[in-house]
Amino acid sequence: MRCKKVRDLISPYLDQMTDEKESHLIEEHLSACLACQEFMAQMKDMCRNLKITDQPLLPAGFAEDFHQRLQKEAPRRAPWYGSRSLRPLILKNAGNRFKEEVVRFYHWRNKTVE
Amino acid sequence: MPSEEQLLTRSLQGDNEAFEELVIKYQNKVYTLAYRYMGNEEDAYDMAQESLLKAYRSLSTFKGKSSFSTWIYRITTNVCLDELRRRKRRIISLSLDEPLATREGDEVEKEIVDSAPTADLVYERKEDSQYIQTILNRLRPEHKSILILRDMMDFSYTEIADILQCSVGTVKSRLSRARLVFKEKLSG
Repeated sequence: MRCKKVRDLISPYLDQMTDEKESHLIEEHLSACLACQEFMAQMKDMCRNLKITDQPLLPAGFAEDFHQRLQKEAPRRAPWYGSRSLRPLILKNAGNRFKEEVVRFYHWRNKTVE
Repeated sequence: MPSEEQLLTRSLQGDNEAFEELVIKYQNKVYTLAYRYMGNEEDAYDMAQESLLKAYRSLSTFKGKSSFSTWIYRITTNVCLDELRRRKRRIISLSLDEPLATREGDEVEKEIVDSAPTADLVYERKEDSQYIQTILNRLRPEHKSILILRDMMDFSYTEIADILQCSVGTVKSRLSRARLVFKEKLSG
Protein backbone atom coordinates (compact mmCIF):
# COMPACT_ATOMS: atom_id res chain seq x y z
CA MET A 1 0.00 0.00 0.00
CA ARG A 2 1.30 3.46 -0.94
CA CYS A 3 1.58 6.44 1.41
CA LYS A 4 -1.30 8.34 -0.25
CA LYS A 5 -3.70 5.43 0.06
CA VAL A 6 -2.66 4.88 3.69
CA ARG A 7 -3.20 8.55 4.54
CA ASP A 8 -6.67 8.45 3.00
CA LEU A 9 -7.50 5.54 5.30
CA ILE A 10 -5.93 6.88 8.51
CA SER A 11 -9.12 8.74 9.45
CA PRO A 12 -11.44 5.67 9.41
CA TYR A 13 -8.59 3.57 10.86
CA LEU A 14 -8.45 5.82 13.94
CA ASP A 15 -12.21 5.30 14.37
CA GLN A 16 -11.92 1.50 13.89
CA MET A 17 -13.96 1.83 10.71
CA THR A 18 -11.57 0.01 8.37
CA ASP A 19 -12.08 -3.67 7.63
CA GLU A 20 -9.65 -6.34 8.76
CA LYS A 21 -7.77 -6.44 5.45
CA GLU A 22 -7.37 -2.66 5.28
CA SER A 23 -6.25 -2.48 8.91
CA HIS A 24 -3.64 -5.16 8.30
CA LEU A 25 -2.26 -3.35 5.22
CA ILE A 26 -2.17 -0.01 7.07
CA GLU A 27 -0.35 -1.52 10.04
CA GLU A 28 2.11 -3.24 7.74
CA HIS A 29 2.84 0.06 5.98
CA LEU A 30 3.09 2.03 9.22
CA SER A 31 5.63 -0.37 10.67
CA ALA A 32 8.01 0.56 7.87
CA CYS A 33 7.13 4.23 7.11
CA LEU A 34 8.20 6.92 9.58
CA ALA A 35 6.51 9.73 7.61
CA CYS A 36 3.12 8.02 7.80
CA GLN A 37 3.65 7.23 11.49
CA GLU A 38 4.22 10.95 12.05
CA PHE A 39 1.15 11.77 9.94
CA MET A 40 -1.02 9.45 12.02
CA ALA A 41 0.31 10.87 15.30
CA GLN A 42 -0.55 14.41 14.13
CA MET A 43 -4.02 13.34 13.01
CA LYS A 44 -4.65 11.61 16.35
CA ASP A 45 -3.48 14.70 18.22
CA MET A 46 -5.73 16.95 16.14
CA CYS A 47 -8.82 14.79 16.79
CA ARG A 48 -8.01 14.78 20.52
CA ASN A 49 -7.76 18.59 20.53
CA LEU A 50 -11.12 18.88 18.80
CA LYS A 51 -12.68 16.57 21.42
CA ILE A 52 -11.42 18.48 24.43
CA THR A 53 -12.54 21.89 23.19
CA ASP A 54 -14.35 23.64 26.06
CA GLN A 55 -17.88 22.44 26.74
CA PRO A 56 -20.47 25.24 26.76
CA LEU A 57 -22.95 25.27 29.64
CA LEU A 58 -26.63 25.68 28.92
CA PRO A 59 -27.56 29.21 30.08
CA ALA A 60 -29.91 29.38 33.07
CA GLY A 61 -33.55 29.91 32.18
CA PHE A 62 -33.33 28.19 28.81
CA ALA A 63 -36.29 25.88 29.48
CA GLU A 64 -38.37 28.72 30.97
CA ASP A 65 -37.67 30.87 27.92
CA PHE A 66 -38.72 28.02 25.64
CA HIS A 67 -41.90 27.62 27.69
CA GLN A 68 -42.72 31.31 27.09
CA ARG A 69 -42.08 30.99 23.35
CA LEU A 70 -44.25 27.90 23.18
CA GLN A 71 -47.14 29.81 24.78
CA LYS A 72 -46.99 32.32 21.92
CA GLU A 73 -47.22 29.60 19.28
CA ALA A 74 -50.57 29.00 17.64
CA PRO A 75 -52.01 25.65 18.78
CA ARG A 76 -50.60 23.01 16.51
CA ARG A 77 -53.25 21.43 14.31
CA ALA A 78 -51.94 17.92 13.99
CA PRO A 79 -54.11 15.44 12.14
CA TRP A 80 -56.23 13.50 14.66
CA TYR A 81 -54.43 10.27 13.77
CA GLY A 82 -50.92 11.82 14.26
CA SER A 83 -47.84 10.95 12.29
CA ARG A 84 -47.73 7.68 10.41
CA SER A 85 -45.24 6.10 12.81
CA LEU A 86 -47.32 6.81 15.89
CA ARG A 87 -50.67 6.07 14.26
CA PRO A 88 -50.91 2.44 15.48
CA LEU A 89 -50.30 3.55 19.07
CA ILE A 90 -52.89 6.33 18.90
CA LEU A 91 -55.45 4.12 17.15
CA LYS A 92 -54.85 1.37 19.73
CA ASN A 93 -55.48 3.83 22.57
CA ALA A 94 -58.59 5.15 20.81
CA GLY A 95 -59.80 1.57 20.18
CA ASN A 96 -59.37 0.59 23.83
CA ARG A 97 -61.27 3.67 24.92
CA PHE A 98 -64.10 2.86 22.49
CA LYS A 99 -64.33 -0.72 23.82
CA GLU A 100 -64.55 0.59 27.39
CA GLU A 101 -67.38 2.92 26.41
CA VAL A 102 -69.30 0.07 24.67
CA VAL A 103 -68.98 -2.13 27.78
CA ARG A 104 -70.15 0.75 29.99
CA PHE A 105 -73.13 1.36 27.71
CA TYR A 106 -73.99 -2.38 27.70
CA HIS A 107 -73.98 -2.52 31.53
CA TRP A 108 -76.02 0.70 31.77
CA ARG A 109 -78.64 -0.64 29.32
CA ASN A 110 -78.95 -3.98 31.16
CA LYS A 111 -79.39 -2.12 34.43
CA THR A 112 -82.11 0.08 32.88
CA VAL A 113 -83.97 -2.92 31.39
CA GLU A 114 -83.96 -4.71 34.76
CA MET B 1 -41.97 8.28 34.39
CA PRO B 2 -43.52 8.39 30.90
CA SER B 3 -41.55 6.85 28.03
CA GLU B 4 -40.35 8.87 25.04
CA GLU B 5 -43.05 7.24 22.90
CA GLN B 6 -45.78 8.26 25.36
CA LEU B 7 -44.44 11.81 25.48
CA LEU B 8 -44.42 11.92 21.68
CA THR B 9 -48.00 10.65 21.48
CA ARG B 10 -49.16 13.22 24.01
CA SER B 11 -47.22 15.99 22.24
CA LEU B 12 -48.94 15.08 18.98
CA GLN B 13 -52.29 15.35 20.70
CA GLY B 14 -51.46 18.94 21.61
CA ASP B 15 -50.01 18.42 25.10
CA ASN B 16 -47.31 21.11 25.32
CA GLU B 17 -46.12 19.95 28.73
CA ALA B 18 -45.21 16.58 27.23
CA PHE B 19 -43.23 18.30 24.49
CA GLU B 20 -41.42 20.42 27.08
CA GLU B 21 -40.45 17.23 28.92
CA LEU B 22 -38.90 15.98 25.68
CA VAL B 23 -37.10 19.29 25.26
CA ILE B 24 -35.57 19.08 28.74
CA LYS B 25 -34.13 15.71 27.80
CA TYR B 26 -32.35 17.04 24.69
CA GLN B 27 -31.81 20.75 25.31
CA ASN B 28 -28.18 20.40 26.50
CA LYS B 29 -27.03 18.56 23.42
CA VAL B 30 -29.06 20.78 21.09
CA TYR B 31 -27.45 23.86 22.66
CA THR B 32 -23.93 22.37 22.47
CA LEU B 33 -24.47 21.45 18.81
CA ALA B 34 -25.69 24.96 18.02
CA TYR B 35 -22.71 26.43 19.90
CA ARG B 36 -20.28 24.40 17.79
CA TYR B 37 -21.85 25.70 14.59
CA MET B 38 -22.30 29.32 15.62
CA GLY B 39 -19.19 29.80 17.78
CA ASN B 40 -20.73 32.04 20.43
CA GLU B 41 -23.26 31.74 23.26
CA GLU B 42 -25.74 34.33 22.08
CA ASP B 43 -26.22 32.87 18.60
CA ALA B 44 -26.18 29.32 19.99
CA TYR B 45 -29.01 30.24 22.36
CA ASP B 46 -31.14 31.70 19.58
CA MET B 47 -30.48 28.83 17.19
CA ALA B 48 -31.19 26.20 19.87
CA GLN B 49 -34.51 27.86 20.74
CA GLU B 50 -35.37 28.22 17.06
CA SER B 51 -34.53 24.55 16.39
CA LEU B 52 -36.75 23.34 19.22
CA LEU B 53 -39.64 25.54 18.06
CA LYS B 54 -39.19 24.23 14.54
CA ALA B 55 -39.31 20.68 15.90
CA TYR B 56 -42.55 21.55 17.70
CA ARG B 57 -44.08 23.05 14.56
CA SER B 58 -43.18 20.08 12.39
CA LEU B 59 -43.80 17.32 14.91
CA SER B 60 -46.60 15.85 12.82
CA THR B 61 -44.10 15.20 10.01
CA PHE B 62 -41.89 13.04 12.26
CA LYS B 63 -42.03 9.65 10.59
CA GLY B 64 -40.17 7.64 13.21
CA LYS B 65 -37.73 6.29 10.61
CA SER B 66 -34.88 7.55 12.79
CA SER B 67 -34.89 8.14 16.52
CA PHE B 68 -36.43 11.33 17.88
CA SER B 69 -32.99 12.51 19.06
CA THR B 70 -31.49 12.09 15.57
CA TRP B 71 -34.46 13.96 14.11
CA ILE B 72 -34.02 16.87 16.52
CA TYR B 73 -30.24 17.06 15.90
CA ARG B 74 -30.94 17.07 12.15
CA ILE B 75 -33.25 20.04 12.59
CA THR B 76 -30.61 21.85 14.69
CA THR B 77 -27.93 21.18 12.08
CA ASN B 78 -30.16 22.49 9.28
CA VAL B 79 -31.27 25.58 11.23
CA CYS B 80 -27.64 26.52 12.00
CA LEU B 81 -26.38 25.85 8.47
CA ASP B 82 -29.26 27.89 6.98
CA GLU B 83 -28.44 30.80 9.28
CA LEU B 84 -24.72 30.64 8.43
CA ARG B 85 -25.55 30.53 4.70
CA ARG B 86 -27.90 33.50 5.10
CA ARG B 87 -25.19 35.52 6.86
CA LYS B 88 -22.61 34.62 4.24
CA ARG B 89 -24.93 35.76 1.45
CA ARG B 90 -25.52 39.04 3.27
CA ILE B 91 -21.79 39.70 3.60
CA ILE B 92 -21.12 38.88 -0.05
CA SER B 93 -23.96 41.12 -1.18
CA LEU B 94 -22.24 44.15 0.40
CA SER B 95 -20.12 45.74 -2.30
CA LEU B 96 -16.54 45.95 -1.13
CA ASP B 97 -15.68 48.72 -3.61
CA GLU B 98 -18.52 51.01 -2.64
CA PRO B 99 -17.16 53.95 -0.57
CA LEU B 100 -18.46 54.42 2.98
CA ALA B 101 -20.25 57.66 3.85
CA THR B 102 -19.22 59.23 7.17
CA ARG B 103 -21.59 61.16 9.48
CA GLU B 104 -20.13 64.42 8.18
CA GLY B 105 -21.10 63.44 4.67
CA ASP B 106 -17.56 62.65 3.51
CA GLU B 107 -16.78 59.46 1.68
CA VAL B 108 -13.98 57.12 2.68
CA GLU B 109 -12.63 54.02 1.00
CA LYS B 110 -13.23 50.72 2.77
CA GLU B 111 -10.13 49.02 4.09
CA ILE B 112 -10.22 45.25 4.05
CA VAL B 113 -8.45 43.87 7.09
CA ASP B 114 -6.79 40.49 6.78
CA SER B 115 -8.02 38.62 9.84
CA ALA B 116 -5.75 35.63 9.22
CA PRO B 117 -3.47 35.10 12.23
CA THR B 118 0.26 35.51 11.83
CA ALA B 119 2.52 32.45 11.82
CA ASP B 120 3.64 33.07 15.44
CA LEU B 121 0.07 33.33 16.62
CA VAL B 122 -0.82 30.13 14.81
CA TYR B 123 1.90 28.30 16.71
CA GLU B 124 0.94 29.75 20.09
CA ARG B 125 -2.79 29.20 19.72
CA LYS B 126 -2.86 25.76 18.18
CA GLU B 127 -4.57 24.19 21.16
CA ASP B 128 -6.72 27.16 21.99
CA SER B 129 -10.39 26.34 21.55
CA GLN B 130 -11.19 29.78 20.19
CA TYR B 131 -8.59 29.26 17.50
CA ILE B 132 -10.02 25.84 16.69
CA GLN B 133 -13.42 27.51 16.28
CA THR B 134 -11.89 30.15 13.97
CA ILE B 135 -10.43 27.49 11.70
CA LEU B 136 -13.66 25.54 11.81
CA ASN B 137 -15.53 28.61 10.61
CA ARG B 138 -13.31 28.77 7.53
CA LEU B 139 -14.21 25.29 6.36
CA ARG B 140 -16.87 24.40 3.85
CA PRO B 141 -20.22 23.67 5.58
CA GLU B 142 -20.11 19.93 4.85
CA HIS B 143 -16.60 19.63 6.31
CA LYS B 144 -17.50 21.75 9.31
CA SER B 145 -20.62 19.66 9.95
CA ILE B 146 -18.87 16.34 9.87
CA LEU B 147 -16.03 17.45 12.18
CA ILE B 148 -18.51 18.90 14.68
CA LEU B 149 -20.68 15.79 14.68
CA ARG B 150 -17.85 13.25 14.88
CA ASP B 151 -14.90 14.86 16.64
CA MET B 152 -16.64 17.34 18.89
CA MET B 153 -20.02 15.75 19.60
CA ASP B 154 -18.83 12.13 19.41
CA PHE B 155 -21.69 10.76 17.30
CA SER B 156 -21.13 7.38 15.63
CA TYR B 157 -20.81 7.07 11.85
CA THR B 158 -24.34 5.59 11.68
CA GLU B 159 -25.83 8.43 13.73
CA ILE B 160 -24.06 11.00 11.54
CA ALA B 161 -25.38 9.28 8.41
CA ASP B 162 -28.90 9.54 9.89
CA ILE B 163 -28.50 13.19 10.87
CA LEU B 164 -27.03 14.25 7.52
CA GLN B 165 -29.22 11.82 5.56
CA CYS B 166 -26.35 10.25 3.65
CA SER B 167 -24.65 6.84 3.59
CA VAL B 168 -22.03 5.64 6.09
CA GLY B 169 -19.61 5.46 3.14
CA THR B 170 -20.15 9.17 2.47
CA VAL B 171 -19.57 9.92 6.15
CA LYS B 172 -16.32 7.98 6.01
CA SER B 173 -14.94 9.72 2.92
CA ARG B 174 -16.20 13.19 3.87
CA LEU B 175 -14.74 12.92 7.37
CA SER B 176 -11.40 11.78 6.00
CA ARG B 177 -11.29 14.77 3.63
CA ALA B 178 -12.48 17.22 6.32
CA ARG B 179 -9.80 16.07 8.77
CA LEU B 180 -7.12 16.50 6.10
CA VAL B 181 -8.30 20.02 5.25
CA PHE B 182 -8.53 20.94 8.94
CA LYS B 183 -5.04 19.57 9.59
CA GLU B 184 -3.63 21.59 6.68
CA LYS B 185 -5.26 24.79 7.93
CA LEU B 186 -4.06 24.10 11.47
CA SER B 187 -0.49 23.80 10.24
CA GLY B 188 -0.91 27.23 8.68
